[in-house]
Amino acid sequence: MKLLQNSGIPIYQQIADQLRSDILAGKLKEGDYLPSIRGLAKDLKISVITTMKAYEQLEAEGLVTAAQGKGFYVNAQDSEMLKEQHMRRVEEALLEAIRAAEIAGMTGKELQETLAALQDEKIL
Amino acid sequence: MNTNSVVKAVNLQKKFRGFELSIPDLQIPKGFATALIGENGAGKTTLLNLLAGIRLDFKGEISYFDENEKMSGGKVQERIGYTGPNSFFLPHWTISQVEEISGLLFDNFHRDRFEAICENLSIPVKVRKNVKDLSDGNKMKLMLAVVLARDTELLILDEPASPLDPLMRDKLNDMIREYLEQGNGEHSVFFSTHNIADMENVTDYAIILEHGNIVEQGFVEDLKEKYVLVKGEAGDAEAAKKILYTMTKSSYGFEGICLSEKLEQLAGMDVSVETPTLSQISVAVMKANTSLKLS
Amino acid sequence: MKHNIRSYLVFTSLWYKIIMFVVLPLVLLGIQVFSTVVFRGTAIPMFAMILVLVEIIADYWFLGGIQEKGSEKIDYLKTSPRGMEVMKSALVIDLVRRFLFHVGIFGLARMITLILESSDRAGELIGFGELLLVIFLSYTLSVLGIFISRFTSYLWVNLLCGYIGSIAGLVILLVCTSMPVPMVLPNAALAVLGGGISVLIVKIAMLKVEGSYYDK
Repeated sequence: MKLLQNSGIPIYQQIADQLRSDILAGKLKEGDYLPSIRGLAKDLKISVITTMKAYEQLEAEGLVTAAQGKGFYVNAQDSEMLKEQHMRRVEEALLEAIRAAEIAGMTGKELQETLAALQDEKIL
Repeated sequence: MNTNSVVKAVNLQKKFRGFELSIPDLQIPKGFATALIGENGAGKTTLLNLLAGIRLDFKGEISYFDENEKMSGGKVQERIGYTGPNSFFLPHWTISQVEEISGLLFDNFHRDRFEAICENLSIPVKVRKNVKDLSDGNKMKLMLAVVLARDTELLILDEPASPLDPLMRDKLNDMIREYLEQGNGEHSVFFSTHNIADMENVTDYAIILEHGNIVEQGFVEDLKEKYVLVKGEAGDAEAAKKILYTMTKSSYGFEGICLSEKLEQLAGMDVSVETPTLSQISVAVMKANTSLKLS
Repeated sequence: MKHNIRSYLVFTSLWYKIIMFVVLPLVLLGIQVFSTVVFRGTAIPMFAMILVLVEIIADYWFLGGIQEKGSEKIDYLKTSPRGMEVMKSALVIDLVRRFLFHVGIFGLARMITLILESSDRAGELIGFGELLLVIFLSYTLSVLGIFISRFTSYLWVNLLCGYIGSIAGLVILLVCTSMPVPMVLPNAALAVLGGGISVLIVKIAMLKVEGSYYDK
């Protein structure tokens, strides 16, 4: 896991993002335990509270569950929820694109054309 | 956040040389590293001395660990490791004497662990040096070695970073994190520091002390949500000044800390908003409470 | 008791132990043997002077400055449940050790004279009353010098106290042995004085160390 100190993205967010993609990509499987909070803090050279906040965010998203005294384990990821998670990321990325388009003065049509063009390129 | 506390103090009061420490309620979270921040003379050392049990005349109640134990009786002392800036060892003790004495003073002192830590921190054990001839950095390392060689549950460290070089400060951070990890939620650290930036990545909870009172405290991640760092154009400085918590301005623009809840009042101004560092938050809180005349 | 002695021993460095427990007795007894064999006389006055001088100077490396304002804050001791006990043991055992050392070393010195001087002159060289006088006198001067020098942490104070103590010892010894009074009188006076200073040494140091838990 690599953390960027000056990326503008809070450290806990970076940890949560990376663990989330590991879970969604299946690298961390159902029932697997996340590294211990204090162990991960030690390895990443960050504070315990930052790690804890990342884990709590994943818990709030329903990706992991806290087991009393044993740490956090990965939940079963039902396909519906997985899809929802992915859709949320798509929406976020598209919103970002829309904002950039506004700044660039692109019209809605131009934006849709760009999207279509990019999709074609990808398929090819 | 729901956490237990390792130290609780109620109505803590201590008058000392014309200054008064007054803390109605103090709770240090268990399983975390807590930083005590404040100006010189804010009462940090006094507070740490009371908690470490090396000053006994004060009003109020301090209780420790889950069983709400009191300092008297000695059981609590065995579970606490303290390092401080005052004379700690007798000046002409040698390092091997310090080892002997530690074994006598504490049941849970492990000589093999002490020797390993000395080796690890390259404390000059082999050289027959007296404590008084050690550099401030080595003296600090020796104090850390004697407390870390014991099975403690709480470390109270008064300015551990100050005498250390940058490399050793980094090592100190590692040692604190390792101590917290070994305890798996049962080990806590409470330290005072002026070097907030150097200790930021090991600080979970921060307590800011001014004039003997706690003026701000909280988990660092919560404080980073409570305050934001705002930068804006010089033209908006006057209007922003009324809204911001603290502000500095120049002819190019202004910069300051704002309470997040007041952020919307800045609507209409051309400002950028960032997450502040603990160091920036602390300086802002200290600025807002200091009696120092700031221009 | 074992614990008390350990408390004392940890307060002394290896060099202190070597000098005080090995080198000093060997040198003193050597002087006594030499003086008895070569000069056919006792060296006990000189012997006492050296002992007082060395003990007062060496104390700088034992508890030098312990009664000085500020230096009593040995925070490490104060964080231990046994810190005060260890400190007190070190103070008391040191005094006991000192007294037994004075009794032993002068006793041995007298025995050397008795063995090497088979003639009747041996008894004249040093009588029992004089032996007690020299023990009480050297002990009292030693603890007095220690008591005074522990208020500062300067080596030169220990040196000064050592020199004054050893010279004063010689003078007092000469005066006492030449006065037409029974040895019991100066012996009793010195015993009371030495005992009193010993009690003060423990009391004052403990008041300082324990007092640093509180505001003064």
